[in-house]
Amino acid sequence: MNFERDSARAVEDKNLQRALVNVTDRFRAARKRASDETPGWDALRDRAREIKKHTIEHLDDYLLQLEENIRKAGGHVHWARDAEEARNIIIDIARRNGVRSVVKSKSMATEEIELNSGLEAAGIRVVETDLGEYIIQLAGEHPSHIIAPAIHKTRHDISELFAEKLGVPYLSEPQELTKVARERLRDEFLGAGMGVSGANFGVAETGTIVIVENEGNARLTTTVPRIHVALMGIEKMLPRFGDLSLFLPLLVRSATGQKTSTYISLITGPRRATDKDGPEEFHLVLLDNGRSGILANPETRESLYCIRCGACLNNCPVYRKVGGHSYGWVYSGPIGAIINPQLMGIDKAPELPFASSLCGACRDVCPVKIDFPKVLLELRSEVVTQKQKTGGASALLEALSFKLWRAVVTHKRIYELALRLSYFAQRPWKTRKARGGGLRSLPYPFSRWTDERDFPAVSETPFRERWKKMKRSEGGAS
Amino acid sequence: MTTGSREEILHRIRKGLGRGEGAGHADSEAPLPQNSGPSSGADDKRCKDDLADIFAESLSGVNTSAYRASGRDGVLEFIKSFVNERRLESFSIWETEFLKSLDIRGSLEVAGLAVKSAENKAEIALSSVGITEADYAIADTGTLVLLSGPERPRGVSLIPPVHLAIVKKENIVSNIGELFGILNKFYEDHKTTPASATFITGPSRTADIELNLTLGVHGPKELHVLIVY
Repeated sequence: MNFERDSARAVEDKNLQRALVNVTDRFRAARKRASDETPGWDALRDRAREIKKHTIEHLDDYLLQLEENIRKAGGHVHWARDAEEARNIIIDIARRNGVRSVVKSKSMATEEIELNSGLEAAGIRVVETDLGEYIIQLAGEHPSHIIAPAIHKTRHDISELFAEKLGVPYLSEPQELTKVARERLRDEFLGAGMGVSGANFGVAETGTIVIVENEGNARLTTTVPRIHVALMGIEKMLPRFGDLSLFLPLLVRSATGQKTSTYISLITGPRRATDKDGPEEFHLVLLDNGRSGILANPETRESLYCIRCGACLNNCPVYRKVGGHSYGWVYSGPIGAIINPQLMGIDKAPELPFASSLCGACRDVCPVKIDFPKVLLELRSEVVTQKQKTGGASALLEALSFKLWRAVVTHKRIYELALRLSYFAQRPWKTRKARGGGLRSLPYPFSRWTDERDFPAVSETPFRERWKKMKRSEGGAS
Repeated sequence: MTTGSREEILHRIRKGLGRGEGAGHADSEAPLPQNSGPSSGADDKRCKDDLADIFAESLSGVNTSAYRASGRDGVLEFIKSFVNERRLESFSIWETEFLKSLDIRGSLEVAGLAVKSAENKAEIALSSVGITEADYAIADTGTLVLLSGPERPRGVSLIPPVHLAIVKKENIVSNIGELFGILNKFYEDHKTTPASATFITGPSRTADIELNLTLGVHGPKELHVLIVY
């Protein structure tokens, strides 16, 4: 990943900038309205956080309880340590049943394990059925927003894409495009041997998995094919069935601002012997893939409370400029900045904990009150510690600079002298073009700052002296 | 090796939490926090007639038409005009006790509509309307709750372009908290959980293309609800 390069590119992309403002403004306003209209919203968030905390602290018990109840209902439970194992489990189920075509509903966990390329490599056709994901799959791209995966594409992009890939005439209206997708995907649903979904929640008490959606594609995916496989991160657990009455409204209102989503499916095992439809086989794949490692650090453990509503993305001043793809992996925005480095290994995404202004807007809207700034700071400290350990010239230089800086600022005389020297030293770079007579560009290593923004110029009279003067004149006046 | 993975994941979790092997900690500790969801604000002493009014209003806010009828004759009269206005040609229907007692199926056949088997997804796909009975409805959000079962195939509310759900007035509850209380009790009484419980609020929708709201992307384009008094 390369956050610096990709975010710079995103900021230059005019279509993307327009789409980002459009979608995040809309979702933000809707979330605000929905939460304002819900009596005791803040207390509900506290309650949800407490339940999540309890659940994560007893995760082993609740996973075992879920497993037992799913088995009682006639379903199968699989455990996957990592992405590869999860992929293999799902491919095995497909192979054992002679499945040649799979329909998928939207799931970040399946993105995380790169299920589609795994299935394709095994010779199994896979079709995304959420409209946004379908568009993304046709374009050969990755989702850019948890809730609205294709927001970075304009209707014109999609019209051209459909014309090229589906052989339909150029259609400019979203209604017409949606109709084409509906017809194509209906055939896919009826012909598929297996449906793969994610899960928003797993309920230990009843062995139920819950899927929240608006389109109905997840219902089709989990009802029509003979086999249903759900992939769920182990952190998505809830202890009691009744917990859903709290978490469902929190999730939907935080995500889209709807009072509730169009469809919520509570699925407990495969069809019963007397049922006329529904899948004959139900499999749940529990995915660890680094989550138990997050749990091991009490400082960052709360990252696992996340219910993937996307509110932190919409409210993040950084995400709103750089978009989802800049984060380099499945999860984006503030939640991506904290879980990508923890799931991938901090050495693989060392830039992400710094991709934040620490303003805390994410924490303010989070339905489970994850303390993002705290977790980000913790991760930053890990990045720095690791950098120091692995050494390298830049780490050494950085450590030296800070030592020097400390020596300067803790000695008054040296500090004053340094200020004086800087005032003269900066002269060649001073320009009127910069705001407030600042410095527009400096030589390396300071160019790392001035490439992106101006550096304020050192004043001729240091603040301390001005302060003294002000005090004196005040004293004289009274 | 799933068995090995299971043990390994459980071991990692327990190690991460700084606990020994073995389960059974969750129950022995402090009770779980209270989990009640948002309430309506007003004390839920609202009578069923009030709830039916609130439910109908909520439905209109989610692109759904609400109708009311009472007694078998009232229901059949409504159904007749409903299918005539829309020139519906075929239907699939749930065979619940209540729907059978109204004999909607018989009267639609008399009216010349073809009945499609609700047991076969390809047949359901040929229906111009799917007719179901909602087990419960939530007034505050305009939500229908459909439990799966032998006479209640899931495809009927999902595959046809139009979904007509019939709900008894007395099965309308106030909010999601009350609903979960009732479902919990239902599951306990029946000592089983249905394979599927589906909450439906409005017709299928998407906003994936430039945030334009489009109805009927995968499920029904139209949702109609008849409240029976």
